[in-house]
Amino acid sequence: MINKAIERFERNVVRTARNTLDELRSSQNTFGEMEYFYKVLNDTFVDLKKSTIKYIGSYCVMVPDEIIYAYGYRPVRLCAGNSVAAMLGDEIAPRDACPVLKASYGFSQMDILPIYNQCEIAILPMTCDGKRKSAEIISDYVPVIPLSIPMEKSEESFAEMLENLKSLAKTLSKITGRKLSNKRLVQSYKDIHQAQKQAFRLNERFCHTDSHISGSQYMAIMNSFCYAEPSEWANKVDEFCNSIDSMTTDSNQKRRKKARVLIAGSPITFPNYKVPLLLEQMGAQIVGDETCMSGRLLYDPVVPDDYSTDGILRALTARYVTACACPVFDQLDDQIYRLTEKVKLTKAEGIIYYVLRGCTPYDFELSKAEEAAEKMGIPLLRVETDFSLEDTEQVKIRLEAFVEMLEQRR
Amino acid sequence: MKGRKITIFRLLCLLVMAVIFMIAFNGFHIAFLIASLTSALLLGRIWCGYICPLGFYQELISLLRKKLRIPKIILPARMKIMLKPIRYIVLVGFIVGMVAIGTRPLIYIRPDKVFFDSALGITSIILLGAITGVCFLSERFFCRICPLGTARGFANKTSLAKIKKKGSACTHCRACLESCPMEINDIYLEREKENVTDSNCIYCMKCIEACPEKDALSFTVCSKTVLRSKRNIK
Repeated sequence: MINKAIERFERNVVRTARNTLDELRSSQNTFGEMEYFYKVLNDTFVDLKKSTIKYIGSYCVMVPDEIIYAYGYRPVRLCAGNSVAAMLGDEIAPRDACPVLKASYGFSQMDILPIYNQCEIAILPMTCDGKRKSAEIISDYVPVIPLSIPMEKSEESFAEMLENLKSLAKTLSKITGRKLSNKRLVQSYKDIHQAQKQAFRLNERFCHTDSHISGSQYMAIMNSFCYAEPSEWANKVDEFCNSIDSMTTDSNQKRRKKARVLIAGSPITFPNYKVPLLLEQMGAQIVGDETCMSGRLLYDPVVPDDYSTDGILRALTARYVTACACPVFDQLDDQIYRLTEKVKLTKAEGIIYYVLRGCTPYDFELSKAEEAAEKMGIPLLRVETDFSLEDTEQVKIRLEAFVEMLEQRR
Repeated sequence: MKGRKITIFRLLCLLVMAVIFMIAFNGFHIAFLIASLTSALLLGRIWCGYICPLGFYQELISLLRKKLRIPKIILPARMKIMLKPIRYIVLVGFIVGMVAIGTRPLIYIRPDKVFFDSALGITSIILLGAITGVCFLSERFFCRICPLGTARGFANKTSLAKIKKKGSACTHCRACLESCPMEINDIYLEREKENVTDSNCIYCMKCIEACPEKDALSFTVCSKTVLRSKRNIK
């Protein structure tokens, strides 16, 4: 009986992921180079390919991947976006918890995704309330290292965070029995630095007025970084950028101008591409995205002053925590400045503020974002939804009206 | 550490000046004094970053430290506050020494001559060793209490050369502060003011080199932009 239930669960999980991938593949402007990124997602979520790779999982974007690579493990982002897994997680999580947590619980509980099965340790930063409480729940399935994050960005909290990272390294040394080697840390810093450079290049092309990549494609590429090998990923993005560049010179036909929309707010993780895909169906063009699992994932580079272990750890702290624009921090200046700059850069005509049901930090940020949008003279639409497809039609109507309004405003 | 053209240019400047001082200092005392004074009045502490041989020596030993991958020592916040009055005390002491006793510290112009002097007293050796040791672990530590630098620092306020910041473009990634040899906090924290030239700034441009945001930091001379920060891709 239970086996059958698990089988059905697995079938549904795979179906959800495959549907999203199919939708992504069928969108316009498909490049041959995209296949690599789709394959990464396909291997992870559809084919459920097992491998001998040992993972250390992490949640949020505050855990430096460089440290995990330095220990000879592969980092993997465990924040999930699958609606079927979220349904299962509903059993453990309180009703008002956000679907990202629910889906992560669901996957932790069911041993079907290889990335969760091969994960030896999970590092959980104490960011929002939900993540803080998750430590207890997830520790039933995998050993959890909680990583405390100071909730302010002062000089003292920088020193505190640096100490936290150092103790994280000590804990990892204890558990894995390996030492944090400077050579490997520097190497992993260089690999990820390459990926960050390429991600920036891709972002430039994505924000371009005549962009050839759609928002959902961009999100899929960025998201696939979490499950890929960084230097390989960087090479593929490099090839992709080159082919986009050659396209711009080849064909210069005039197309009808689409409404330019920027997505900000809660994390959008594969396969939860409901909102971006709907937006594109409604004829809008996503020109920028300020969510933590794609646009912000690789945006800031790590800039060490010297290559000593201490120097790299300082730079990692600066990049992953001080520069982080997550709304859980005490003040929201950084986030709003970033949003404003992004709107200026992308020449967006409207902002879709995506709020996952139960994701309160982003809902708190909303009022500030609305103020900023008003100052810039562009409309902002708050879309609250979760992973399920039940409200697709309702969301669709709202998005359609918003896109129409943007076109009328010109 | 690749693509640091500005730092390489600056180190070349320092090297050339050190050589010039070695060959042609005697006989041109007055000329160098006038050059030093005018540069200080017009451009503030630019002498410290591009000409001072003692600064060059400190930078060489920090380069060695970076090569050996030895971490730098960051002074605790309380010590940084303490350094401020110490700077002024040292400056007053220096001026008194110059006027009353007539000290002419050769180390500013010819650190090599001081180091290889055969008649070096035991106290001077200890002092030089201590300064070298501290500067090895903390980049340009001496510059933070240097009396000549403090005096030039007053001119930084009215200097024609300015470091400017576009607060809205800053993402608070701390790259500027991490690379700053003088550990100037304001450049990282400031968001409202445009002019972020601190009295300690030696115009080494490391912040502009490190800053990944386009146009967030810029260096202007007579309000003409000379350098801007940008993301280094390839």
